[in-house]
Amino acid sequence: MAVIVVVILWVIAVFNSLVVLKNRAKEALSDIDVQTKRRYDLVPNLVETVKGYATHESQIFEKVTLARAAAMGASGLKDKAEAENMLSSTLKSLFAVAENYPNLRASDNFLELQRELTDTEDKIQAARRFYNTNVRDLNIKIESFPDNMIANTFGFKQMELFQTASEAERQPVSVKF
Amino acid sequence: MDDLEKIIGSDVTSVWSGFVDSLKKKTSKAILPAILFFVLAVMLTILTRIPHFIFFYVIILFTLIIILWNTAVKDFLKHFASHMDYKYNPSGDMSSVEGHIFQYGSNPEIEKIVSGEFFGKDTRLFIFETTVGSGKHKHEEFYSVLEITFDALLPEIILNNKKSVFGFGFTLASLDNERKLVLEGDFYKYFNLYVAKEYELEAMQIFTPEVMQIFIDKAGKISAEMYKNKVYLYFPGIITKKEQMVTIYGLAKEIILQLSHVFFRIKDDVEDMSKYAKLT
Repeated sequence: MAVIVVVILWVIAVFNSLVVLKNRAKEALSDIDVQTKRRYDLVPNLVETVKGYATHESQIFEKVTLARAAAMGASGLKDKAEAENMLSSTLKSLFAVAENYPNLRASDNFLELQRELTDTEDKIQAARRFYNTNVRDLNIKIESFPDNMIANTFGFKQMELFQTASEAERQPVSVKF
Repeated sequence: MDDLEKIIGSDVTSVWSGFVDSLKKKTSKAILPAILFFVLAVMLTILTRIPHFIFFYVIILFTLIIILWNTAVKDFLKHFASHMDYKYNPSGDMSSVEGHIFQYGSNPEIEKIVSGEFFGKDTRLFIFETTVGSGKHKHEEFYSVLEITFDALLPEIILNNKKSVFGFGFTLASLDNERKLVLEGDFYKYFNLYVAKEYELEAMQIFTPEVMQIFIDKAGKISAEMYKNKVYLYFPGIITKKEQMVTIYGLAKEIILQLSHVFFRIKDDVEDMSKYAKLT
C-alpha cells in the first residue's frame, strides 16, 4: 500500500513539474512575441523617418517593408527565426544607408528610433535565450528516465528550440557617427 | 590587467610582507622583555608546579600575533587607499549595506572601509565579519566586499561562485521567490545564478554570453550580488595580496564598462516591476 502511495505521489510530482516547465516555455515564447511585435511597430516609423531624408533609396524601403511583412506572416519557429533574421539584415542595410545622410543622423526622431530598436533587438535576443533555456529544461525532463514514462503517458511533446542567429547577425543594429 | 596593476601600484604588495616588516621592527624592541617573560613563566611553572603560566604565555603570544596581523591588514588597506586617493575608515555602519549576505549569521560588522570613485562609480571595499554556527561549531567568518553604486535600480540577482563556500543557502531564503537559471554553455559549472521572480528577462539581458565569459575568466573565487542600485562582489576571506586586489577591482572594471549601459537601459522596466511587486 505504501509503495502505491509513493508511486502515485511521484507521478503527481513529475506531472506537475512537466506542466510548470511547459507553461514556462509558453510564457517565454509569448515574451518573444511581445518584443517582436514592438519591433514590427517601430519599423514603419523608422522607414518614414528615413524616407523624409533619403528620398532616392526606394529599393531598401521596399526590402524592409517586405521583410517586415514576411516576419509578421511567418508561422512555425524555424520560419519565424529565418524571417526575423532577414528583417534584422535589411534593417542593417537601412542604417548603413542612413550613414550617407548627415541631417538624418542628426535627427532626434531618428536617434530615438534607433535607440528603441537597439533596445528591442537586445530584448528579443534575451527573450529567445530565455525561451531556449526553458525548452531545454523541458526537453531534458521529457527525455530522461523515468520521467519520460510519465511524459509519454500524458502526451507531453518536446518543444522546438529557437535557432539563434549567427554571431554577425546577433550584433545589434547601430550606426557609426 | 596590466593597467590595473599600475593603478593599484607596485608598492601595495601584501599583508604578509607588512606583517613581517612589522614583526621585524617590533621583535628588535620586544625580544628582551619576551625572553625575560618566558623565563619568568617557566620558573613560576617549575616553582609552583602549576602549568598555567606557560599556558598564559602562549595565549599572550598568540594575542600579540593577532594584533600584529590585524594592524598589518589595516596598514595594507590604508596604503592602498592612500595610493588610490581614496578615504579609509576603520569602522562602518551596518545599516549602510543592504545585500542579502549581510543578513547572514549574528553580530555582523563591517570594518576597514576604503571608499572612492573607480571608473566613474562610487565604490567601497570593506571587511564583513559575522558569527555563524552554535555551540562548539560557532565561529567567525570574514568576507572582503567591494560595493559598486550605479545610477539605476537593478534586478535582484545572486551569482554564487562554486569555487567558494558562502552562506547563500541561508540568505537565498530572503530573495523573493528566487529561481535558479541555468544559462548556456559551461557557465553552470562555475556559478549558480539565482534571480528574483519576474526578473528573468532582465537577467538574460545582463548575463549575455560575453558577460558570462568575463565572469568565468576573471571572477576567480568571487561571488556577486545585485541589490537595489548596488553590485556587491564577495571575496571569501580577507584580501591580503595585491593579486587579489587586482582580481576584484579588475572584475569591477569589467562590470562597470560592460554593464553600465545595460543597467541604464533596463532601469525603467526594473522600476516598473518593482512598483508592481509592491502593489501586489
